[in-house]
Amino acid sequence: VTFQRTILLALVVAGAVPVALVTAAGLLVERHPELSARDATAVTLAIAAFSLGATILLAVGASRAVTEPLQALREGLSTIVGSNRCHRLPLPTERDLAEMAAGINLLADQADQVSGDLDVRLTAATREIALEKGTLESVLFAIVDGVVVCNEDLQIVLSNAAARRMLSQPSRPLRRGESVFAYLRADLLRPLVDALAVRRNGSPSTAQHLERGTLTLPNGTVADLSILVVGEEEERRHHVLVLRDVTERVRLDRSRDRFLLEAVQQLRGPVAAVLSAAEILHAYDDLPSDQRDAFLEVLHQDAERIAEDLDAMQAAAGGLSASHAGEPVSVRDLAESARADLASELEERGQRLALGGGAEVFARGDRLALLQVVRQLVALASAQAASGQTLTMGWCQVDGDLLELTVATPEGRPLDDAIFDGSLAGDGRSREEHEPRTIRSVVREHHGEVWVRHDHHGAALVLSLPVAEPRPEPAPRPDEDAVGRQILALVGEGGFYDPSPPLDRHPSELHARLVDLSYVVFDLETTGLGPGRGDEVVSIGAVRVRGGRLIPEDYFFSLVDPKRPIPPSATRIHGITDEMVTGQPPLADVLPRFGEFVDGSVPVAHLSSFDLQFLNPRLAALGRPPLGDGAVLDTLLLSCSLFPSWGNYNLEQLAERLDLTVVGRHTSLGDALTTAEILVRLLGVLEQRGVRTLEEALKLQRGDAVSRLVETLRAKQSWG
Amino acid sequence: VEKRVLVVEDEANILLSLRFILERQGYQVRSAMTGREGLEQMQREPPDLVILDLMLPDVSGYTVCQQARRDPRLARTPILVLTARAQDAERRKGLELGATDYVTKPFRVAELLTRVAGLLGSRESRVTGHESGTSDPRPSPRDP
Repeated sequence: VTFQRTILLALVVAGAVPVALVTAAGLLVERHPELSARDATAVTLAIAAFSLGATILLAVGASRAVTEPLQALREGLSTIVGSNRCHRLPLPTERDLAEMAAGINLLADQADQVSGDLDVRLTAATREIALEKGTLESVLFAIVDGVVVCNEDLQIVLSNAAARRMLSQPSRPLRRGESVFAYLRADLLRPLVDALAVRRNGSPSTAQHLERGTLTLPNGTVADLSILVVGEEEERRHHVLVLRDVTERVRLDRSRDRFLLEAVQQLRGPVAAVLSAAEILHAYDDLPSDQRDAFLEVLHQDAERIAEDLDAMQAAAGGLSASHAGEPVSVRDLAESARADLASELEERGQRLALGGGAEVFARGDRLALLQVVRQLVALASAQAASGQTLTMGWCQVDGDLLELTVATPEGRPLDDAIFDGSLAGDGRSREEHEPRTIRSVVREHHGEVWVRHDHHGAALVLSLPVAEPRPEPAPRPDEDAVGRQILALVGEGGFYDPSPPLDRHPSELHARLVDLSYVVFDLETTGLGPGRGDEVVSIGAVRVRGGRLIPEDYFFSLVDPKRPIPPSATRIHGITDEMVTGQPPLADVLPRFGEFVDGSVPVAHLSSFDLQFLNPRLAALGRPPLGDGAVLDTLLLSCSLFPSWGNYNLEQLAERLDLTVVGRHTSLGDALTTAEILVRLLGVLEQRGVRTLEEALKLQRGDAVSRLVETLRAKQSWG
Repeated sequence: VEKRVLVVEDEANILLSLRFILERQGYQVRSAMTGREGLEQMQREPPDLVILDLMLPDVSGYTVCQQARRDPRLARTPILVLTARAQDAERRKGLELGATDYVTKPFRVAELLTRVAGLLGSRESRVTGHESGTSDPRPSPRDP
């Protein structure tokens, strides 16, 4: 039945019925003249009543057939537009109306798809921006110099921790939105900004301009300030202020100047006396003996004074030496980096380099130059050894003030000291400008020595350097954690789980020694990366580590029914299909069992924030505390803090670096086993580095925010 | 019997003084002004003591030390090193490569003579560094 035909029929009926009835009434009266006027009236009334009844019936029918479906359409439409985009219209029985409803549904579908696409793109774009912002903040954060970005009105838009350290005053911490003049004296800063503006006006807009100045900050720091303007368009133009702390350099320069001046002045007196006495003795051979003795006495006394001055000057110069201003460099780190750098070369020669290890000890100076030296020492030792032989590198503190790093080869011809005079490979400095640096020259710049030690084991190349105090515990920087958390929040889909929950839950366990604790190393496989987007756990694997050993027979494994389809992209990673999880217990049933397995042990995971964001909210929903009461060790963060130079901390790379074989990658139990073996290695390293308690380990893994963030970003990219 | 002292020193003025004070002390003094010449001399006629400057024009004093120690006849000859540099690491290296004792320039005559007498008196046992107090001049780092 079409809509049109229904209406037509209704109109025809509505029109025809009264006409037919009136006609019928007329005929009736005509055929029966005996009918009185009263009867005629009754007939007419009956006809009228009949007509009224018919019309009402008709109206009701029309309302059923037309108005109600239309009303339903209208309401459905307003639902789609107003509240529920996913709502679809029920199809009325009338074909016209049904087509209309279907058309509206189609339009809604299309609108839905477009807006869905938009959502996806918007999410992607937001994520991209968040990642970029995170990266930018990490970069800013890692810069030693203070960086402040201001808008055209010189209000602070962005600053890094170094800038905040330099510019914040107790009464006025550096805050965005404030004018930069609140922190830097206008009379010093204004001229630089104005000069910059003048130079920009007078030249093409593409030219880069920079103004520099040196100023003393309110906190006493002496800083080199560089200002530049970035952004071409007027409204997006920003001033970037870069502050370099030169306090130490200026202090050193000043004391060096003063030292030189004083040293020369100090020597002038005695040298003048010696010179004149010597000349007199030389020129006048007729001196009476008492005068001769007097001049000889002068010679003797002033030569003594010069010798004493020299000793004093040497002692004073020690404090002015440039290498004393360098950073403490971990010798272990040098050794490990050199080994990693040369791994493939050694492999080509069929050689191995074993690290003999030793307690942590620090040298002071130029890390890169020292690394070149250690690399070159390994290369020299390798050239000396035959194929298939194992070199050993060890280090230790000797004598109290000196450290020694040795690279030993099992045999070889006697080595001459001259091998240390070859120019350093990879020395970036141009030959024309500088003498080529050699192992010896770099080592001497660092107040050290190199030599060859021959004994019945073979030859060892020995590098000896003065011991530096280890890097002092960095001053607490409240910003660091805040920025760290912020970026973590930006990075995660809906935010990674906060990796630094309160630590005051288990004081006894926190102070227990790491070697005495029991650990549960666990790993999850999931349907995807975002629990916030409905992703779910599909399997949990865990294994225990106790007494510093992996206990492979003490494990936990369960598949979990995610109660949702597993996308093919996830199945490709872990191989778990919908069929495999059908009939498996849901997470709510598995979690309590897993909780029991963990109980009494410290939970450990690789990139634990990922796993915890799946588990902890579910635990909370079950009325349980977060895993490990919030004290969870993270092998990624720990490796990152322990081996900052390694650069990549995904499971494979780490296992390879630690000489572990990887089995069953991307099964939760396989990954848990690999992670557990990594943990066992890390526990040894932690012990050596003097990290003894759980609390210290947790502190260490939260410590280096920058590298942690960079690694989180990186790990996220290579996750899977 | 007069003790024979070989002085290897490239600065003529210092050599002059050293020769003078040592001879006045009753030692028989020979001298060399380069590392190679010094090595040749000590190998030709092993002295009772060598006074060796580290900064020589041809080969370094360390090399002289090392090569001297490879000659069985010189293996136990005391070597007193004179140096203008006074880093701890340098001292350690010298002692390990065969130096018996160290004197930093400038030195006092009396001090030098005391050291020389000490070294010649205890010829049979290698004397170690006087200041560093090292008991064993070559403790090897942790044997891997």
